[in-house]
Amino acid sequence: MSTNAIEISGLVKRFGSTVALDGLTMNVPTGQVHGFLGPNGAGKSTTIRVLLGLLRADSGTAKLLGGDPWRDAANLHRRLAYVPGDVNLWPNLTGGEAIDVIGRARGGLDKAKRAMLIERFDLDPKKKGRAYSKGNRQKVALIAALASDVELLLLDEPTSGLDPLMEKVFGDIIVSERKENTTVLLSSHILSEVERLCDHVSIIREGTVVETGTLDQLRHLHRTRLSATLSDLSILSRLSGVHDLVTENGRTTFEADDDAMPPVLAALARAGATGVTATPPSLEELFLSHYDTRVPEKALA
Amino acid sequence: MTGFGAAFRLAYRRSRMFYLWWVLSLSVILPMTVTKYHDLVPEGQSGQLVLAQLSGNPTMRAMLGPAFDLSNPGGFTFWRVGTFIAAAVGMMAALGVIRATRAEEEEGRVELVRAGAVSAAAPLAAGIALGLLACLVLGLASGAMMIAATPGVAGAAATGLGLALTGAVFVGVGAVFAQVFPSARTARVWSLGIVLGGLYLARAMVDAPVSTPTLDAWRWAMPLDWAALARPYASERWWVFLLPLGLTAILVALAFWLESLRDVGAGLRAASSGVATASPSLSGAVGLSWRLVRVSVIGWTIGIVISAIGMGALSTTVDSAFTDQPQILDMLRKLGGGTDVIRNAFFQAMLGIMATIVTIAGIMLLSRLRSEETDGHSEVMLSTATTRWRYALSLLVPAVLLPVVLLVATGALLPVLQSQQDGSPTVIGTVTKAALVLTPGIVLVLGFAMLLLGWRPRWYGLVWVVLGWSILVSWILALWNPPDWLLKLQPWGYLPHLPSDPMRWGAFSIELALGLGMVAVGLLGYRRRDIAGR
Repeated sequence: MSTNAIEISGLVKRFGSTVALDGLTMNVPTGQVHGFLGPNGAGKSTTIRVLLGLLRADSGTAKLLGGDPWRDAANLHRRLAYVPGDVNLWPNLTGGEAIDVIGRARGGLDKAKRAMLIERFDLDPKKKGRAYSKGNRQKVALIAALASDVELLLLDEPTSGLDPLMEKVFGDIIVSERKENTTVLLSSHILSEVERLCDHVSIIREGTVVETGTLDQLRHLHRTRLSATLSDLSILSRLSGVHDLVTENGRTTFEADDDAMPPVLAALARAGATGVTATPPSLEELFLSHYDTRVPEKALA
Repeated sequence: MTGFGAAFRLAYRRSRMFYLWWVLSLSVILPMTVTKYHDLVPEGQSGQLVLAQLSGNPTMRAMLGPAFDLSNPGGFTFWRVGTFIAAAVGMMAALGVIRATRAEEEEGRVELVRAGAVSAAAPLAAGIALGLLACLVLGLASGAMMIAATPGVAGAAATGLGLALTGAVFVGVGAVFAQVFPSARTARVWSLGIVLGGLYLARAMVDAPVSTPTLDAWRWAMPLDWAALARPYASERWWVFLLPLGLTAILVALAFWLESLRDVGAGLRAASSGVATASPSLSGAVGLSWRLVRVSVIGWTIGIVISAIGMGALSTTVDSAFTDQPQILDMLRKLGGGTDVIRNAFFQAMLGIMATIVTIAGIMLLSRLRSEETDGHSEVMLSTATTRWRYALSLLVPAVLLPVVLLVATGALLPVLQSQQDGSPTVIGTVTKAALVLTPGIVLVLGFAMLLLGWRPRWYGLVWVVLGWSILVSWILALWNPPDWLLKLQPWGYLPHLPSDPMRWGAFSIELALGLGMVAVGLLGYRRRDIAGR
């Protein structure tokens, strides 16, 4: 058995003249909860649909649970579950029927788990599909996916439309899935959710992965923001790895590369700086720097 | 009414092409028919005989409605195509008003509109007003073309008015059903399948037999006959138009009243709840597809069985229809046949119509494969252990089987009453065989539909063009004496029409193979193409 649940290499997918995936490369080891982030239209859903064998890649390779997602689709699908980003139920089937139809088509679902999930998500399974709100439709899709025992969960913005309480329930369930060594690919825009659940994240933009790693690793790739009161600036401006040095009302602020931190801190001490603050990049800044497509990519690193 | 203007402009913007195509294609049929009058009806006595034969033929009356004065081009034209166009205008009107009201509401767009400064009834009023306007334009266009094509302004005015007002009635029908049901699909089924289809059948049953006072009275209850009953080009009876006017007013008022009773997005009945777990049969692609289509399968079956028996009852009137037409009986005898020639022609004509109608059932079932995809349901089912082929076949098999079975059943049911009259079942065998021989046409159309689904799913609408063409060729184009190959260039054109044609196994097997081949190629395309999400 492969140690990677998902292996994608140089994946290209075009829709007419639009390039949706532009040489995407990404690996998700078995048992990892992998955050999949990126602005709208970056190619997250397209990647997941290629992994499901719904879309055929133009070039590149993708492997899923050791198999070919296009050729072995139906067999691989017994071992995975999927929650689409925009859930639309059959208008004349009840939520409970939809859960069973999807679960049975996958090869069966765990009745006890189904009952537990309905209880925890507080879903009325007797309502007809057209009568559910967006959040409740989402719950139906989540229960249908989570009620089977599978090795891999492909979740495309699974909590959109859920209230905070239900978001927490979802998080708790993912935490317990992780304990059972289930691999999860979680596309999301909710940073707190990603921070809480994901071991590892990949940030995708315009069809390629621009950064991947643990959240700590990603933080290290980014500059720390410092501010201090000091009289002699020359000692700082001579150091490499110091950027955007500005003094306003006697307060000096600047950014420092992660590997420039030891000399910077030493220099600050020598210069007799007071009121020193150092702020590591917040997750939000980290993501925003990647999400803002107006900023040329070169300026980000 | 606050916001009516905005709602109307929105409805106009979204439906103008829809109405434009309908109005253009329907309004040219009348003047085109006029131009053929003198070719069809020669001067003098032979012309009289042709007219007597046409108007005395129960098949023709069932298809076309009552005849009044066929001795002038306008009157003949209205009889030949007027009632048919009136029914088509009704179809346009009901589809148009549902598309502007319930379909938009189902997609959640009415909610956006009503969040603005728009009163609750404005979207419905806009849809109705636009539908009525389209009927008016169609009536004016048809009237103007008839003034240009034939002498007699009154006849042209009655023609235009008759078509417009028949359409108006169905604006009302569509508007009412759009309030009753939460789904546009169901509203369309009721407006067209049950009301329009049922009224056309009822009209055929009333119009076909030799007229009696009872039948004449019943005719007034047939909205699709009202335009003809106003007698365009046959000393017009203007007061008849009060009937569609009054019915339209009642239906529109009913629609507004129903609208005021319900919530946005809801039907008239509060959404009922169902079961918490699926029954064992609701399992896998096959169980799901059966659940999705079973209501339409049952509905179509009931409708076709009733139609076949009803139409079949007309065949027994063939004899009496000609007893008062010695000229025609004489002519038939000279041609070496009796009334059974006419009766066979009747069965053939009915089978031809029914073949087209049951194919509509197949196309609509198969269109589920497309709508399930655009609704995002295919994506979910195809990310389970369901293979593409199994998924496609779960809808393709019923879509082919249903029309084939229904056509053969029609063949068996049409002659039931005749065989009782004959005291012999022979005729049942003959007509059933004739129906079986027409089934490759169904397979061909559905093969084309599957081909589109496999390779160019966005062009699925083309299959309706094929079917529309076949209707146009056999109902209207036939008047032009077009070259034989053009007349045959439709799904049932090359197939032998038993019992008057000899059986041609070649045509039968080639067309069947062609249809099945397209099914196979379509399935291959479906296996290898991208599945769209929502």
